[in-house]
Amino acid sequence: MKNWWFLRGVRKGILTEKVPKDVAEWSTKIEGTGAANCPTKAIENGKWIVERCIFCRRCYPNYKPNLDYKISIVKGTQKLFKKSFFIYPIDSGSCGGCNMELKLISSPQHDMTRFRIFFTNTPRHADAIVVMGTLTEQMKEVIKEAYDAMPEPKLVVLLGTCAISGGIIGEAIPLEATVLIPGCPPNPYTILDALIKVKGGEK
Amino acid sequence: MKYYRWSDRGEGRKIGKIGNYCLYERVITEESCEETDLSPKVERYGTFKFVYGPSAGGLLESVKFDITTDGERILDIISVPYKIRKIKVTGLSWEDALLRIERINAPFSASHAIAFLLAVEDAMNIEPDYQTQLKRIALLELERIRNHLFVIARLTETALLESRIFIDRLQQNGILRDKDSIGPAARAAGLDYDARLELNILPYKEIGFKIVKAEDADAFGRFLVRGYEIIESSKTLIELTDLIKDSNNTSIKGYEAANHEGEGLARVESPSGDLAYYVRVKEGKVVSAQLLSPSSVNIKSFMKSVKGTIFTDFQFNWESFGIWISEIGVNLE
Repeated sequence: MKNWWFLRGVRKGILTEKVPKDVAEWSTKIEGTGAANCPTKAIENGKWIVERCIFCRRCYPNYKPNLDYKISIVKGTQKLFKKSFFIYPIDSGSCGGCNMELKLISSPQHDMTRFRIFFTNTPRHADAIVVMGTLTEQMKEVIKEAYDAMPEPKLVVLLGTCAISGGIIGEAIPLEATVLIPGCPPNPYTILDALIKVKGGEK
Repeated sequence: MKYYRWSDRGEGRKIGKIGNYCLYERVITEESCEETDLSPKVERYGTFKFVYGPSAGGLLESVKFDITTDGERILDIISVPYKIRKIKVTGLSWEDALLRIERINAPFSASHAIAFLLAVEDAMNIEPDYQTQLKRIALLELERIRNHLFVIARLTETALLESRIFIDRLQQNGILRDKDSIGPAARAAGLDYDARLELNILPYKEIGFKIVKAEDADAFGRFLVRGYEIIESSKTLIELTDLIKDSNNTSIKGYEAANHEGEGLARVESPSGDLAYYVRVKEGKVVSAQLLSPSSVNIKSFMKSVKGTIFTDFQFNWESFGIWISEIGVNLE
């Protein structure tokens, strides 16, 4: 009787998605033409600047999402992490949205471990630091300490528009980042796609 | 203010501190809310300080706990929120302020946005139509279901419900019987504290909803309350599917404000308890805004309940309150 949980798991089958299903529209690439009442100047001369977008929908219906979730900016790859990539999340000043979406990549639906990506609880074991939220005074020192404690080579991932450009709330994180994952909050599909890219592929 | 009035002294249930004022069930006072002194005092032979946080694996957000212990037991505790955000809403139109209010706490985004809008409507003497109010209830109940599922997932992810060891981690852990508590923490102690019943800001009473209570007042009680509230919220949503007629809101073109200047106060029941906004508006712009977040009350309840428990119980007790540091560490300017 104690093994009910196991039988239940077998009955439900594999929940992990091979290809993304049901991508939330307003976390994907935005396209359109015409005037936009953008509070963060994410649309200038008809061009969408992903780093600034908070997906507030004020530009709708002139601008619409096109369901392309691959909107991250990956400036390089580190193939050393191909077989094992440990990430250390740190919350500088988020609203909790990025924290929840990042946690989702470990859910059965996304299962990051199949791509050899893992969370770690200490920067000493981390290959990449994932910083979320706007810059806050007390967290400056904490982020610096965590970054200094990481072994080389190390990567910086900025998660969410707040960390990348400050969004609508505050200041951006002043770290030289290899990966920018925009969104307010970012889609788990986008997060996983960016992490796979920076480690140089799926397997 | 339609739903609240100023008073010299508190009447009814005390909700908590809102800006420089103290909020009660139906009145707001200028008196300072009584705060429990939570600074560590236990300094006896063999005790030492253990620091947990500000960035630790078990915590989703940045918060530091200074725990006084003699090895296993938590004798005293203070919490220090590490992410203090200053969010400017004054001088902005209510539409622009709303974009920032939505981003105070993503998990309670609907509660924050709806409480703020109700307060603005109160200040400008706007009467929202019945269908809009019903849709607001639907949003709040959807948010409650999502949040309670999240809290239950956090509680159960390291253990299984069939496991006696897991149940032992919850039962008799973090017992809290406190008249100053709110939300599921209060209802788990048998108190019928619920903004949905106390105020007529949103037409909950017409839809008919049942308050969920437990008697144990521990982490297991809070876990059960959340579980049954998912069922109750689902029933409310089923009721609403018959009542909500125009799903696209196309019939409403806009509202006429009777007042262009005034003060408004509204309180809603967020997934973790009472959430209120007190705003002053002048010519469509926010002059001042003050927030009472459920997490700011719940963190005090948590710290009362955690004293005397052991380290192993900490995480389960913490998760059972559903606290978000993002809304505690926010200064509205």
